[in-house]
Amino acid sequence: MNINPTYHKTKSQINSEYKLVQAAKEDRKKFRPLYNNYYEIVFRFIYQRTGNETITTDIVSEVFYKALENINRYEFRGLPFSSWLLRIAHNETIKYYRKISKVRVVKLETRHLQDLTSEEHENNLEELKPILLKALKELKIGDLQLIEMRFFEGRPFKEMAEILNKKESAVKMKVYRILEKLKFYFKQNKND
Amino acid sequence: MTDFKFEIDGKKLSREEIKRKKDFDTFYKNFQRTRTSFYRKNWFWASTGFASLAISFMLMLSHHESNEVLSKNKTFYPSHPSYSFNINQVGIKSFAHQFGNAFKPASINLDLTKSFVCFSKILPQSKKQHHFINSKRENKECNYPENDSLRLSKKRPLPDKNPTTITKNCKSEVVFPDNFVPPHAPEYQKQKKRRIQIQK
Repeated sequence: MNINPTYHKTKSQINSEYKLVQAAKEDRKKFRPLYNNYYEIVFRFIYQRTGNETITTDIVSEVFYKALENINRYEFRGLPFSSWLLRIAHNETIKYYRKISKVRVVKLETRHLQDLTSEEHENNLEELKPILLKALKELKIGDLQLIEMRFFEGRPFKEMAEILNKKESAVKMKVYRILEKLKFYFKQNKND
Repeated sequence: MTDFKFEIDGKKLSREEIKRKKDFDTFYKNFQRTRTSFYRKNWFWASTGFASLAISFMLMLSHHESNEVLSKNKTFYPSHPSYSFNINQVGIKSFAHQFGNAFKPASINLDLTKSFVCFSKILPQSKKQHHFINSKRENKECNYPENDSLRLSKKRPLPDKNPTTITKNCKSEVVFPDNFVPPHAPEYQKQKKRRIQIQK
């Protein structure tokens, strides 16, 4: 499985980013570079979960509003600033779905399903697709979120933990348990 | 289980499309405008919450007070028992007595003492002073207000504090005041039966 390089940052990049955050804390107008740098990441994160451009734009502006309002509360933990923004985005998306009680959208590509299946099944993916989707539908929303972040978005465990406000080891353990569950379901349905 | 909608290989947004939506100046203007709105301030929500709490507390308190007044109006507890007296009376107790080998019903006269409390109270309905006699013997409230009550006139002195003794072998007697009005009972009238005459 390939981890998305857009979510990776070097130490020097993270440190220079922290200086921008400090400047924005002192003067809100200096939030501009952070806004410009992370608009796309936040937009894609929310669009992945809503599948609607208009709704996504609204949620994104709400996310940046909250970020700018609470920037003084931001604590540096050696992670990119995007993790903090994505945590706000995650909470805002949950809030949106809770408010309108709509069906949750999960955007994925066929290659993402390939990552989920083992190598031996790669040849007959088209046949296995409905079983795999059915198995994913059986998951709880929290479990599907983890699969979505790890396999459909290619996020590292550390960032997932930061977004979900959990420990990295706990997130890892949870992902492996979900995979075991999916494998079991997959085998059962394949035999049927 | 939550409902999910899977969008496989759906529409992908290009960098340019997202870039077009990005506008920091408009965002910052909106931020400054809404930030100054009073409903976005913490003090507004804090004061609103405090005021609503205070109002609900006051409403609860007034409701409780009105309930208390109602409950007071319903029962007439002697607030200041002014006088208590006892009346001895003769009661008859029935029992089975052994006459030879057989048991037969028999009775015996017993001295009984009834305790009463006289008190006066101004009722909120009539705003007049009413006098009540309350029986202690029953160990429960038995008040007789208005027409059905045992009335004692205000002018007349209250009965003697010393218990009234009633001689044995004579029936018990409660000395009622002169102006005692017995409860009115309607006369019984027998209903005339209608006879159906069958014509031959």
